[in-house]
Amino acid sequence: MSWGKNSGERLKDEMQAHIDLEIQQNVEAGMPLDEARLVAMRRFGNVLWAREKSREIWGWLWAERLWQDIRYALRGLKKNPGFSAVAILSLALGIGATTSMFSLIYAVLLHPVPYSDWQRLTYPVYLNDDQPTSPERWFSVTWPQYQQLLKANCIEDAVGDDDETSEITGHDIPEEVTLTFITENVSNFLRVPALLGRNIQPSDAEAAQQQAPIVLGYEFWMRHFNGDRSVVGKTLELDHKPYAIVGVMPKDYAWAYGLYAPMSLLPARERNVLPIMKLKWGTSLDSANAEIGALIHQFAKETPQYFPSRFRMHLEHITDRIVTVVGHTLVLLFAAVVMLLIIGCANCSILLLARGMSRQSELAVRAALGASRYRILCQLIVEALILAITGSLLGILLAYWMARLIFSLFPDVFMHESVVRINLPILAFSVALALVSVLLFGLLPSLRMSRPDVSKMMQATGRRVAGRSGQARSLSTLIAAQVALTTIIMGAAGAAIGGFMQMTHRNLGYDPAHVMSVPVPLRPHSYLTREGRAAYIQSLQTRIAALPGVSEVAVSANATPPHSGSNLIFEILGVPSAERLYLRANFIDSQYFSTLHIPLLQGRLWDETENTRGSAVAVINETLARRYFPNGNAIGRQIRTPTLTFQSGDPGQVVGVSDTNGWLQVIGVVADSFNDGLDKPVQPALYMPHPRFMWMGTQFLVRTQGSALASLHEVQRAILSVNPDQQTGHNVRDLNEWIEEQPEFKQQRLFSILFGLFSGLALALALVGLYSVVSYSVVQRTNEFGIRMALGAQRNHILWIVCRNIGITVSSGLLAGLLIFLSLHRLLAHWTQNSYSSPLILLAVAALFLLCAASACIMPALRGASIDPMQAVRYE
Amino acid sequence: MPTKDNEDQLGLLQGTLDLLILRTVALGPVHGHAIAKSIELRSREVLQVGHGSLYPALQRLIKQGLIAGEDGTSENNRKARFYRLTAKGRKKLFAETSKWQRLSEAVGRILTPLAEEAK
Repeated sequence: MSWGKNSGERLKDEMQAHIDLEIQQNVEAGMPLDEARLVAMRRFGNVLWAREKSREIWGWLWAERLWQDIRYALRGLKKNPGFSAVAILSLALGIGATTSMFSLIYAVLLHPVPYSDWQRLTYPVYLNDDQPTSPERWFSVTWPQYQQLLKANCIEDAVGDDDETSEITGHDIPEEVTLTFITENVSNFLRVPALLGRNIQPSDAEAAQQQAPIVLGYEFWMRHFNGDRSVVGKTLELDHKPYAIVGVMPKDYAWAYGLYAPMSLLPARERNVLPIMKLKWGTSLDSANAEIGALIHQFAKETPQYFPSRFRMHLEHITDRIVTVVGHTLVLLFAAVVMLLIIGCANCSILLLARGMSRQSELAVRAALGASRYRILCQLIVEALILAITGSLLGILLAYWMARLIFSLFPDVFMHESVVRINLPILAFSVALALVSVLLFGLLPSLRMSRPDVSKMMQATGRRVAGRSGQARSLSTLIAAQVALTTIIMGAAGAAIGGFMQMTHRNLGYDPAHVMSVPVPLRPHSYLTREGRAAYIQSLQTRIAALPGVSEVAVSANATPPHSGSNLIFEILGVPSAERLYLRANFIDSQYFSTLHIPLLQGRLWDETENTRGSAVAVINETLARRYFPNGNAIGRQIRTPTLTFQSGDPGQVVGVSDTNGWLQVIGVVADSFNDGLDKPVQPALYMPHPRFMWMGTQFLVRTQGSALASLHEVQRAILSVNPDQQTGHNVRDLNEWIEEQPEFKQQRLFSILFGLFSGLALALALVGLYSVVSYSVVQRTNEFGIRMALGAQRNHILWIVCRNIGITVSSGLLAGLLIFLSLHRLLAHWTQNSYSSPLILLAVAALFLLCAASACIMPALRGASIDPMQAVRYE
Repeated sequence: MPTKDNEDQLGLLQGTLDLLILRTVALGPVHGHAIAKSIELRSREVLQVGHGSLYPALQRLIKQGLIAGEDGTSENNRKARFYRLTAKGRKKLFAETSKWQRLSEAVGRILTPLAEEAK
C-alpha cells in the first residue's frame, strides 16, 4: 500500500461524500438545508487539516513539499532574472576570486616546488667576509669532496650537478646550451615523473651504452624541437658527440632551459659539483650548518683556490629566496580578495533583504491562508539555498578558471617550478560563508513574523510604510559596510597601480630604447693574453659598429643595467675608513656611456689607447662622488678595489692588468643610472676599462636605429665574419626586456593588475547592489510618492527623498572606508617593499566612487520621480 | 483552524481510537461515515475533535496493514470507500481485546477481594 497519485483525489471525494451524507441525515432529522450544512461542516472539522494529516501518515510528504518549494523558488527566480543573475554572480565572483587567490598563495608559500620532501632540500651558501652583502650561492666542490659531503651525518642523500656549456653541432644553428651533468640518483631524489620517456636513472651510471643518454628540459624542448612529441629516441649531437634523447622533463622541473646527462659521462677530475642536499628527518638547520660548515672549511684548506680567504657558510632551503620576496604582498592580495568575498556575500544579502522587504504582503497572505510559520520558513530556506548552491557551483568553476588564468599569465612571478592546485579548505570556507550569509538574510524577512499579526501586516503592506523599520536599518548597515569595503579595496588598488606607474616612469638614468645586449662567450683556452683578448674584442666591436643599421656599440663585461657591476670593497687614497665601503665595479669601454645616453658631468672619459692598454683610470658615478667627495674634488683622486685580483696561476680563465697596486685615478664623473634593480637606490659605482679584468666572455651593447632585435642576425653574421667559430650566447635581450624581466617589475605589474581587477569587480558589485536597492525602495514607495505628489510635492522633492536616505548610507560608508584605509596604510607601509602613498589616491577613489554611486542611484530615482501621481496612488 | 490542542488530544487517544475503529470494522465492510456514527454512539468523548480526524487514523491503520479499503456504493447511491478487517487486523484486534479484558479482570480482582472471600 502506498500513497499513489490519485490517492489525494480519492480521499477528497471520500471526505466530501462523508459530509454530504451527514448533511442528508441532518436534513432528514428536520434541519433546514443551510443549518444542516453548517452543522455537518462543524461536526467534521477542518477538511484541509484532515487531508494533510492523512497525507503525512505516508511519510513522503516532506519530499513532495520540498519539490513544491523548489519549483516555486525557481519560478520566482525566473520571474526576476535581474535579481537572480546579480545575486548568483556576486556569490560566484566572491567565492571564485577568494579560492583561486588563496590556492595561488598556498602554492607559492606552502608548496612551491613539486619535489618530494622539498622542505629538507638545501644547498650551501657562503658569505665572503670581505663582501658580506653579496652571498655566493651555488658554489661547487670537487668530486671527492662531494663524496665526503654524502657521508655527512646530517645528510640523507644528495644530488650533484655540474653545468657545462655545450654547443649543438651537426645542426644548421650552432646553438649554445647548458648541459647539466647530474648524479644518477636524481629520479629517486626528486621523484618528479618525466613528461615523455624517462629521467636519468641509476642504471645510466654504467658506461656500457650504445649512445650516451640525454634528457631534455621543458623550455629547451619547446624552443628547439617546438614541442615535438616524437623526439624520444632521436639523436642530438653536442660538441660533435652523439647523444640519445631518452626523455623530456615537465615544465615545473628545474633546469628547464637546458639538457641533463648522467654524471658518469664526465670524467671525475673534471667535475665541479654543486651539491643539493636532503637533510635527515628531524635535523635542525643549525646542526646541519655546523657539520657541513666544518666540512666546507676543510675543503677550503684542501683547495684554497676555489674559496675566498675568509668566509662563513650556511645552508639555505631551495625555496627561501622566492618565498620572502613574494609572500608579503600576496598575503595583502589575499586580504583584498577576502574582502571581495565579503562584498559578494553582502551584495547577495542586500539583494535578498531588499526583495524580502517587498514581499511582506505576499508572505502575510500566505500566513492568512493557513501556512504555518514553519512552512514559510522552509520555503524561504529553499529559495536561499538554491541561490547559494547555484552561486557556489559557479564560484567553484570560476575558481579553477581564474587560478589557471593568473598562473599562466604570470608564471615567472611564482617560482617557475610551482604547480597550482585548488585548495579545498578555503573553497569549503567560502562556500560556507556564502551559505550562512544567504540563509541569514534570506530568512530575515520571515523572522519578523513572530505572531501572525496578519491583518495588520496585510494592511500595512511595505508599500505604504514610510518609516524605517528594523529591516531597513539592517539593509542600510549592510550597504554602508559594503561601500566601506569597496572603498578600501579601491584605495589599495590605487596604491598598487600608483606604485607601479611610479616605477615605470622613474628616470632610469639611461635610455634603454633600441639597445640590445649580445653576449659573446669565448671558447675555453682561447686568447690567453690580455693584448690578444682585448684586440679580439676590439675587432668584433669595430665590425659590428660598421653595420649600416647600428649607431653605436659598447663593451660591457658585467655592466648591463638595471643590475650592473660587481659588489666590491674599495678604498680612497688618503681617506682611511673605519668601516667597509662598497661600490659596484663595472668593466666597460668608453663607448658605454654614449651608447646608453648617460651624460658625463665632470672631467673626461678614457680614450681608445688607454682602453686597450687597460690603463689605471676610472670614472665614478654621481652617488659615489657626492657621498665620498662632497667638496666636488673627485677628479684626480685615487681609488682601488683591493680584493680584485686574479690568480696568475689560473691559466686561461681571467687575464688582466696588475699594476700600481691597483690604484686607479678618477678622471671623470657620470650621471647616476639604476644599477641595483628598479626599486632600490643607485649604488656608488666605479667604471674601469674592461681589459683590466677580462673573463671568458663579454657582452656588446648594440644601439640600432630601428628595433634592436631585428638587427641581431646581421650582428651575428658580422661576428662570424671575424671568427667563424664565435657564437653569440642564447640570451640576447633588448634592454627594455631586462627591465620588464626584473621580478620587482613583474610583481608590481601583476599586483597592480590584480588589485585593479578586484577593485573593479568590487565596485561593479557595489554599484549593482545600490541600483537594486534604490529600485526596490522606489517600487515599494510608489503609493507614498503618489500621495505626496497629489498633495503638491514637486518632482525634485521626490528625487531628494529617494536620494537622501541612500546618500546618507553611502556617504557614511565611504567615510568609514577612507578612514580605515588611511590607518591601515600607515600600518602596512613598512611591511611591503613598495609603499606608495599620496593624498591623490584617496581623492581619486572618493571621487570615482561618488560619481559611480550617484549614477547608479539617479536612474531609479528619476524613474520614481517621473511616475504619474494618479497611477501611483492607485498602484497596488 | 487547527490548533495545538487538537493535535495533543488526538495523540493521546490514538491507541483507543484505532482499537475502536478495528472493532467497528470487524463487523463487516463499512464506510467512513458509518464508522464515525458508530463510534459516536458508543463514545461521545473520543470523537469530540470531529469526524475529520477519523481519516488520518484510517490511513494509519491501512499503512499498518490492519484494514484494507475498496470502492463501493453507499446507501444514498454515492460512491464511497468501504473498509474491512484484514487477517492481520483480526489478530491484532483479538490481541488488544484480550489485553483489555485481562487488564479489567486484574483490576476487578483487586477491587473486589472481600466479595471473593465472602464466597
